[in-house]
Amino acid sequence: MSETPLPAAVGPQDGAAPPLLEIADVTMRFGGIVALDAVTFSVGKGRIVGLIGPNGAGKTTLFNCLSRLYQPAHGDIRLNGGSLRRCAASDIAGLGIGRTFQSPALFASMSVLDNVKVGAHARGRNGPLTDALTLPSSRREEREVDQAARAMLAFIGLEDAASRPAASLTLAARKRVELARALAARPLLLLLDEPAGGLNHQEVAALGVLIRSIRDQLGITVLLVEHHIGLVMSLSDQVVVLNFGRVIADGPPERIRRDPAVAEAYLGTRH
Amino acid sequence: MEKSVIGATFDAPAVDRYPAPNAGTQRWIAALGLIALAVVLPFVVSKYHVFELTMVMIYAIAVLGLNILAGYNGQISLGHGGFFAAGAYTAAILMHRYGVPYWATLPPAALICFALGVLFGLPALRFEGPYLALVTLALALATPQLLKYFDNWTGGQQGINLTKPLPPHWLVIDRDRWLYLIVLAALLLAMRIAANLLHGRTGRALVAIRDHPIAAAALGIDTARYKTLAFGTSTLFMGVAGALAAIVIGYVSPEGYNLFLSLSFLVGSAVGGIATIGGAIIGGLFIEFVPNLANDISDAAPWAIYGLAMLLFMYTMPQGVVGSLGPWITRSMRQIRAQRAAFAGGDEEHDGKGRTS
Repeated sequence: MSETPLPAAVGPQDGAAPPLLEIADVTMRFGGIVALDAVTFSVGKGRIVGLIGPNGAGKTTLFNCLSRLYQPAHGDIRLNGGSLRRCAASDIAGLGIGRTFQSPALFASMSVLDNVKVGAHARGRNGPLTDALTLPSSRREEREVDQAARAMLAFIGLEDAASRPAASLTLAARKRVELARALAARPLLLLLDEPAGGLNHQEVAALGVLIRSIRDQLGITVLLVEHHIGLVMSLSDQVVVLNFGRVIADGPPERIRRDPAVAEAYLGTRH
Repeated sequence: MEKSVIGATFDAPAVDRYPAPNAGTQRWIAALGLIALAVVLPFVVSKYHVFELTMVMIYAIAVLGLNILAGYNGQISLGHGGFFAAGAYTAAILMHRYGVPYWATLPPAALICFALGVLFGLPALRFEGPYLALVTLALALATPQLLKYFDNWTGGQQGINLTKPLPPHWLVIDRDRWLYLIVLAALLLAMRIAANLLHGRTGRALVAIRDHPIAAAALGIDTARYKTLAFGTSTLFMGVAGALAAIVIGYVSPEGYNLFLSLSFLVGSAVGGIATIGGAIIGGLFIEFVPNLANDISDAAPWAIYGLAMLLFMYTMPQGVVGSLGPWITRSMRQIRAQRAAFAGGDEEHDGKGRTS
């Protein structure tokens, strides 16, 4: 895998510009189990940040806190300095956080194109009344949504599948449609939950290219949960390692690779 | 080069391109033909059949309303007869007590039923699937008793008799055919509004909530708001249908709005195609004609025949008549078009426009 240097990624993480996403002291408990224990890290604007850790480390739990599906017991999550504590789950997309799910959560009965159009919901203004009467303004918005959705499908390379039922696609294609759907909201930050899960070698390579172009061409910051270490290391500007709900390492991939604590978490202690 | 890598992972063949440019025009011509047929129909059938067809269209509006909630949004209601009754009594009370002209009772019936639906939809947010069905079942069971209880408004057991409205004097048709045309106009308007609503941002949100509520919320859809809205819109259609039924029948009484009516709407919805707009008409036909047909076949066990008819429909067309036949017709049309295109491509001398077959 070629590691071409990316101009947007260079420069120290704590530069002059404030980070896009700050996760500060987030703690989440399920009954007696501490799923997240004072998790703190931040994601700079325009970066690809990998979030790794063994199974059960709390990666998806953290994503669900970011999506406001879970309410953390302590701590705060800030996007562009604004706290998300008081937001509903449905406010998050409008604020600029898009996400994909571990197993693609497409709307199975809809066409591929309609799935992507739902992605543009947060940016739309049409209400039930303007829809019912089909005012000129709502027609215009529909046209724009249609164009944007087709452009997103072209971006992920699936424009030919626009009118196919979403349920009929392969896993790799469904994952791509889910990406296009998240991108249709024009997010500032994209959360990807194991995008490479279940993909073959060739598909993973193509996914890496796509994620990089999401950042480079669309200027979207990416937070990536992934088990495919090769992919994470080749894409990320910064890698955060979780183990048992705690951040055990946070830094550029070269440093994470050499970190003894990370090796221990993955391979166990040497006796 | 990067682009080609992206494209390479999509291995499934792309069978479906965008529809042919003239498909929209063809659909419009088909729709206008059907509307013309519906306008002519009452003048070629007997007066009793005119009444029956009017009731078919009223039931179609009701089924359409239920489809918005149950089909598109996935909330099953067994109690929509209650909202149909609310619409019917709103019209009856306004006409009988306050002398409101029949046509002016439709907007208040719609608004009152919308408000009732929103009020009922708010607690319904806490119930999913079968639990919501049970809660709404209670509404269906209570409706006739509630109507009897408020007897100084509803006329109790006796109900309310209404005088059937007359057509405007410059129009030389009888009142049944006049009512047929009014109900036809209401049905067409209802179908148009439903189609507009369901094919836009709102409709996509409703289906998204049905298919995957968590993903819908993550994309910014306020699920509680849209589910309540679906309830209110659905009961608005019910209210209009109920008011039209009161006007057309000229009579309302508590026993007409029992549990069976609520169940009929759901049966009509399932038979016609639960998440379709055109299926509502099939549903209306089923509700109006199948009980009578069953009675004609066997007056000893009509409901066994009714059940058999339901089984037959659901077994042969599990997606409902429109839901099952619609995709089949679209596929056949596409094949015909492809064959025609291949045929036209074969001899290049002709432009292929003037062909008829």
